[in-house]
Amino acid sequence: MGFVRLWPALLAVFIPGIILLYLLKQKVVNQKISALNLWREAYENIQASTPWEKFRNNILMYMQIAALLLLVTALMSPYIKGRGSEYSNVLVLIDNSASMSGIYSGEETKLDVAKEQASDYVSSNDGARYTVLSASNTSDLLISGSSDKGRVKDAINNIEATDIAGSLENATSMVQSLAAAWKNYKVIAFTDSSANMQDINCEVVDLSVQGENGAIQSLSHAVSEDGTVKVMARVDNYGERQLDTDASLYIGNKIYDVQSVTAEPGESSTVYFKDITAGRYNSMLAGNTPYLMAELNSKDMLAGDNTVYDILNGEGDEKILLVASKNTFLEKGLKVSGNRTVEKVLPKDLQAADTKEYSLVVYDGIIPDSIPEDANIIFINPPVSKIKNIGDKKVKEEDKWKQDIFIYANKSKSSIVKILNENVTNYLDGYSFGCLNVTGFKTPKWAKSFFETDDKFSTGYLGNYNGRMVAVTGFDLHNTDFPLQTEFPIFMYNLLRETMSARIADKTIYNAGEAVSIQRKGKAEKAIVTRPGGGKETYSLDEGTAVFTDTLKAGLYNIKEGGDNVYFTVSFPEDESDVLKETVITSDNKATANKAGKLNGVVSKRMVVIPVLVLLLILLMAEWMVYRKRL
Amino acid sequence: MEEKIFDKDFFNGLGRVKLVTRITMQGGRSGMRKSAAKGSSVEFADFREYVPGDDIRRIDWNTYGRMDKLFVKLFVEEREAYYSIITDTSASMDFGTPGKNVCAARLAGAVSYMALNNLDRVRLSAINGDKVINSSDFTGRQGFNKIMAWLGGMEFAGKTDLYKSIKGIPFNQRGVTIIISDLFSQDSTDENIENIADTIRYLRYMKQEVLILHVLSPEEKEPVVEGTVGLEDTETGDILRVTATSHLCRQYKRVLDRFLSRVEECAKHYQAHYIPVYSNENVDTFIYKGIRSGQLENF
Repeated sequence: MGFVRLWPALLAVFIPGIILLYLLKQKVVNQKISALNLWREAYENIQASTPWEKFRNNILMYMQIAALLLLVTALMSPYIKGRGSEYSNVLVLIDNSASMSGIYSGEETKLDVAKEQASDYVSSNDGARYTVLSASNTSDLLISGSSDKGRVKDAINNIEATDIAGSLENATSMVQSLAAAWKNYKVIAFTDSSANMQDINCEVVDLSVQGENGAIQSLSHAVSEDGTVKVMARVDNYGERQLDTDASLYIGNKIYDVQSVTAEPGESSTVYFKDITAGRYNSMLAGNTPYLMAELNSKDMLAGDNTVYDILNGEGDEKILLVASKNTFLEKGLKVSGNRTVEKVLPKDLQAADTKEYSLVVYDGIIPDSIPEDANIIFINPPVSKIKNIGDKKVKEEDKWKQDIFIYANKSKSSIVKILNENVTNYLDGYSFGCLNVTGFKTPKWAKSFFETDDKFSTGYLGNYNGRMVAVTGFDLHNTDFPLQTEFPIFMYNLLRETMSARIADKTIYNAGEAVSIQRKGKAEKAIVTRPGGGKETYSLDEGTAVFTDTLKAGLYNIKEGGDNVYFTVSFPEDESDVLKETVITSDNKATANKAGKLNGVVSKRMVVIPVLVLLLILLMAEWMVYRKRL
Repeated sequence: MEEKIFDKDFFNGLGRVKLVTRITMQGGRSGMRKSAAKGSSVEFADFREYVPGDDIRRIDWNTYGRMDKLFVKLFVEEREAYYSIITDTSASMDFGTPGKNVCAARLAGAVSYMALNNLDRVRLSAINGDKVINSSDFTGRQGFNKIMAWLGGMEFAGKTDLYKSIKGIPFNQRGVTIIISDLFSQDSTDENIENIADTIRYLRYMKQEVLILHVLSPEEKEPVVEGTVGLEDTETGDILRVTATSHLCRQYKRVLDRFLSRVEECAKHYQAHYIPVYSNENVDTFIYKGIRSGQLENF
């Protein structure tokens, strides 16, 4: 037997009050009678005939105490618990990926139902040791081998809904390794996605439900030559019926445009919103709302995918300065930067150029006397003569940056440059190219190498150096066929993205659960991240970088660093929107798929409030009868 | 006693009944009761042969005509009866609504009235503790005013030992003794019965016809006790704490009934007469009970 709430037990403090009232009552009355001998005789007779006479004397008091106790019990909402567990170890595995935030029935989400059923199971099965795992793209071990039901239920109830893509698959290996250590166990898994539960004694509770779900995704914008901004989004219908709704575009908190959307089941539809004028666009960039939000107006099973954000990063305003004598490859390569303006200056005219207005300065074959204050920098093939011995000698304060950036290692006449797996080398996996006159560097502490020579030295590295992104490559593009390969524009695009966009956050769109690397810009000491719900976290930037991992919910995030405000958005995973996707539980004969969505072995709490109240009523009637009889 | 004992209703009916005695009187003054002596009443008793000196007016001439001998008629000498009315004036008698003391005084008054009405002699006694206060003898209807005054002056307090106090009353001749009491003179029923038996035996020994008028209040018959109470004895001040349950009340009534029946048996055993009287009953009820038990009869 258990109780839903315990506070009414405090009412038991009134019991001494009842006893006290009876004691007080007994003192007050004194009644004269003519002679006592007959009464004494009668009283003695009674005491002799009924040993429980003392009890009978105070039976009203006992009945009132019993009535109070019954009332307290009724208020505590008692329930009868179930049987003992037949397993010594029970592993509760709950999928908390984005789709589990979908409605199961009424207002309850699938995750709510899973947590409730898991808690009920724990409540109604005694004697087992419980392990609780949550699973999305990774699995979290929340509690291990505990027989403290309160803690286990707390752990279950504290599982938070996320907007992360994933399924139980990611937890399978952990479950298998845990289960291997147990002789007698059962795994109870809750999910709405397919799962592979080979060789695990498992009951998978399938919480998938069919219904209506529309999702708005891929909100994007493009700045035209005349400065107007075109905005579009994709709406997918994952439901069973035709989607017929409206999509709204918001600027800040104000609605800007509403477009009607129609999509057949399983189909997509593109929504074109009204163009945003150049003036409006520029004022958004200048103000505190450099983002767009689009929203589907219909209510459906999954709310998380009905909103999407797009960050306006003002690419068109950024300028790149190329300091080079002659480098067609590089000029062409920089054109992948889109709307950014690329200006070119010869090294001899460098002194005259004002580098302040540029976001990125690319030095090809030269090392300037001084570097710009804020701009990000790419050094292509820095002259060896200027850096070869720089590490050995004492330098002036203003030249110290050279020592920090260039740590010369060797010069090889030819080398195969191997591409290392970093963000800047995305989509270039396994690629390498030959090169002449390659300078090898030791990778500075602040940077990560992405090109490696035969001698295992770095000939390309990138990092945040004192609040700016600095990239160095140690070869002339003319000495390699790399620029002639299709991989070169990809590399250049990545390089520009990494050096230009990574001012504070390295990109503007993240997947839920993805870590955000926060870079220090300028001399900021801390970064404050504001989550969609309004929660804030502060990170120290002493090391030049910080990692924000709490991207569990889709929505708009903000990083404040010094005077800079940067937004990024966490997108809702597309896979999780598909509510019609059939759930397939792959298992051998050990695992069972429970399609009914109701876990076996749960003896739901049988509330016994009514019987207690009936008992209380009977007791009160009996008390009244006893009272009447005494009169 | 603040309550008016003798009101107009009291005297209604009393004139129609008289007390019955079963003993023949010896000694005493002439009255209305038959006596062992032969005297000059209208009631024929016997014949005897004429001896010189007899009143010749008593010679039965009809018998002389038949028998040719002189016989004189003998008549029963009628004497007065002697009533001793003993009233218990302990504190327990000052209880109930109406009070047992009022009832006792009324009974004493009623019996006295009937006795005086029958030309008998009455003496009142008030017993308290082991003491007794005796009145002078009252005769004649005019004596009733004195009786009323005497009864009105009785004080009810303290304890009473019936047997010990009765010993203080002089019984010089045959007569009728009427005890008016609640008979709660001892601490237990057994002692009470023993005390009553001793009393009756003593009175019988003193050639008294005994009538016990056992006075109880309605509260004693149907007790009104509620909850947990301290029952306080009016005589001793002892307190018995009880929780009044219906079970206890039933048990009390059982004990009371047994006590009454034991008193009645005891009275019967020693040839005394017993009439239980409740203080809320009026004189008519008493007369009815008296006639039923044979202690009273109509003129």
